[in-house]
Amino acid sequence: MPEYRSQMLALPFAVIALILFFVQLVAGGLLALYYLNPDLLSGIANFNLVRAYHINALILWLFAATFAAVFYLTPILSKRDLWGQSLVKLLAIVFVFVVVGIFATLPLMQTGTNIWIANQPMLVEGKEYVEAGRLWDIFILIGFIIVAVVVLKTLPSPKEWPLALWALVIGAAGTFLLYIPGNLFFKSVVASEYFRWWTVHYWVEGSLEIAYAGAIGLVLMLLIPDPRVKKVVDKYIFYDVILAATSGIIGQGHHYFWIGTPTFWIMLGGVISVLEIVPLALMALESLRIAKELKQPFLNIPSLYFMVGILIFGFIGVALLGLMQTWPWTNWWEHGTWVTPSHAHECMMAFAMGAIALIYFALPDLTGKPIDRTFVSWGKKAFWLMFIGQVILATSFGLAGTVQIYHYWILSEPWQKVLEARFPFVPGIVFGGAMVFLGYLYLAASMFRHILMPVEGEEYKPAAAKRSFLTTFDHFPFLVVLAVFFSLIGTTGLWSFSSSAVLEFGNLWIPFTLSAIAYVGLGVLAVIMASKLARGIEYGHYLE
Amino acid sequence: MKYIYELFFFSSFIVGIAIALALYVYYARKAKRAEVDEIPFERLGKFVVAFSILMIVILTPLSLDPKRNPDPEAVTYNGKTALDGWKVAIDYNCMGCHTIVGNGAYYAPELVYIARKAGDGDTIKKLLETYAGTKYMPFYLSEEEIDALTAWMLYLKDLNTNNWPPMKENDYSFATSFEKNAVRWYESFDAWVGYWILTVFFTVFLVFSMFYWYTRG
Repeated sequence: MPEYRSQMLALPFAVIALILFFVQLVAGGLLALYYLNPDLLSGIANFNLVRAYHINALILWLFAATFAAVFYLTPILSKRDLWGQSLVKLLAIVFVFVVVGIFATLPLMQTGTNIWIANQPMLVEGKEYVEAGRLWDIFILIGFIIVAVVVLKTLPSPKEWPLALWALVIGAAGTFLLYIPGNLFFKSVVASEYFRWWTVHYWVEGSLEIAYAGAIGLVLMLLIPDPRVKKVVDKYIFYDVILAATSGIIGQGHHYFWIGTPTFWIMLGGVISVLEIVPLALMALESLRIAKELKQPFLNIPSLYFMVGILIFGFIGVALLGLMQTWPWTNWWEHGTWVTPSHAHECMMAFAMGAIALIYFALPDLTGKPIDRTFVSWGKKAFWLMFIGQVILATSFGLAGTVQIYHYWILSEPWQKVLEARFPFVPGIVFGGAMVFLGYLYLAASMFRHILMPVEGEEYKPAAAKRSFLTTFDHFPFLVVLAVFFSLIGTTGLWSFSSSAVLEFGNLWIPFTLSAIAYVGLGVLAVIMASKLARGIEYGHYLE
Repeated sequence: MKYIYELFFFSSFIVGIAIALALYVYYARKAKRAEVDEIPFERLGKFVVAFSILMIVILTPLSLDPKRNPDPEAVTYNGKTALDGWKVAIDYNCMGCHTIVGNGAYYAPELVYIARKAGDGDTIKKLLETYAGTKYMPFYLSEEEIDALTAWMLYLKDLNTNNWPPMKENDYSFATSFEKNAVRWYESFDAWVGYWILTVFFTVFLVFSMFYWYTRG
């Protein structure tokens, strides 16, 4: 049992998160099915409905997992039980109510039914990421206020907060506040898109990143109560927040190249969003430094693996796949094609892994059961299946998008032909998605087994040191530089569409080969880097 | 000049990185001789973040300048305005299959692209009538809704999207010339000189902090 009874209130939110994650994966599978056979569900559950489930389930389960993390960490930090526990129970009920409400009203989009009050849509908002109606937004806002009140009433005075806690609080508050601008209805499509990105981009680039950096910093400080680790983590978070905010706030401009906003975004947004790789590359390098500070075995191996997952997807998926397409000259070609979701899927998986890492971290403490060998081995299998599956999925999206650029923008083929051109890559997406789903099954099985079944004997013992290329930290900084180099190859590939070699002479092998090298290279590097960092800690090379 | 946009963009990187490197070498040498204290990075960082927020506050009203794009209530087709069409597009969640100005799902074609290729209202309306109710768009659209959506797509066609999407008509390039692209004063050559200085400043800050942070630990 946990130290404070009220920490148990985190458990229902973790379970809700796991269930919603399942909904998201099933919806994603149905989306893939649409590409294999468009007629199967057409008219019953249209593509846009399934996609709305796919995205909204993700947003809702990230919220639920964040709530769980907040309710688990707050009592530890304030050294007392949560204030207003009945409010938290109410929140759980409201949350389930909102989830059911959103999922029940989304199908109205299939008949175009909606209620407009004061020029605002109430039932369906019909914009990517913010499909849920205004009615539900009001409840979500009430939920956010409950969390804020409970947390602020429980925590000690802000003067005693460590920097990591500040980051968590600011990040969580930012997530809630930034939910508002994206939801508002604007008469102009330009204004509507402009503010929708305030929600989507500032979530991933700002508030969620800061909140997860804070939460994981707190976790590290709890695991290793060494003042030196606190100093490293504090510094890490401060620099990360400063650099991420500096590049992220104006870096937003990479969404504003072609939506009807002025040309200054091409200069400001373009240059500054290219520099967004700086904080993320430093994060990858700095995490190695923290890993070397660890002087004791890290027992919660699943949590460790998923934390490494955030870092590697944060660096490869967010920073480097993002870098390939953020230059205005490459964005010009890839915007509106499948190159974009290759980046988006790894971005979102980074946050999903953050949420999973926090749940794995809290679980043994909440259930009061030891970490056993099955928990560790299933957790590791879950991580590798999800990680490699997502890499395969993103690679397929990226390659298909490169082909789409040629068929759609240059040959200007009718849409049916474009779908056919992308089709050879769909099996890759299905295969990657299936791996992620299998990983989810291991994840859910390990967690529910830990919650429901008795855990006896076979306690997990730290693994014996094992030395190989994939289990040591050696050459990690070199791999970081190599990954940036691969990303620049991909940039060249996308930009080469503008050259006369491709436009006039049709030398398609140039962009296709360069993109293939970049995507496959980055995928392989992601796996190697994750293995080096996670297994390097697991097999105890930090002790040397 | 054909490559003036490229020149602006990439020179700011080169100059920014060069200045950052020079500054860092200067700093590191001084630090070696133990002549400097810590750089007041905490204050500097907070200042730069505040400056970024100030910038986005200033740039937001400029970005939403109503003179740059058509007024959604002024574009009409058969008595329906583009605003009516936008509401219909939201009701049916068009963005869940199509992309609008490149954002959305990628299951169906880009709407700005379709509107530009179709060219006029009657062709757009004909497209909508052809596809609504089929397996491609499996839902029923009333006559008024089709008119409203047509008006909305005419509005999308006239959005000033800096020449995106890539088409033969725009020479597969967004960076044509300042004379053609500059609609408002803040998109002119002179204004771009100002943006160049700003981006150099940000590049210097970020690249210098990268070296500083990494070597100081």
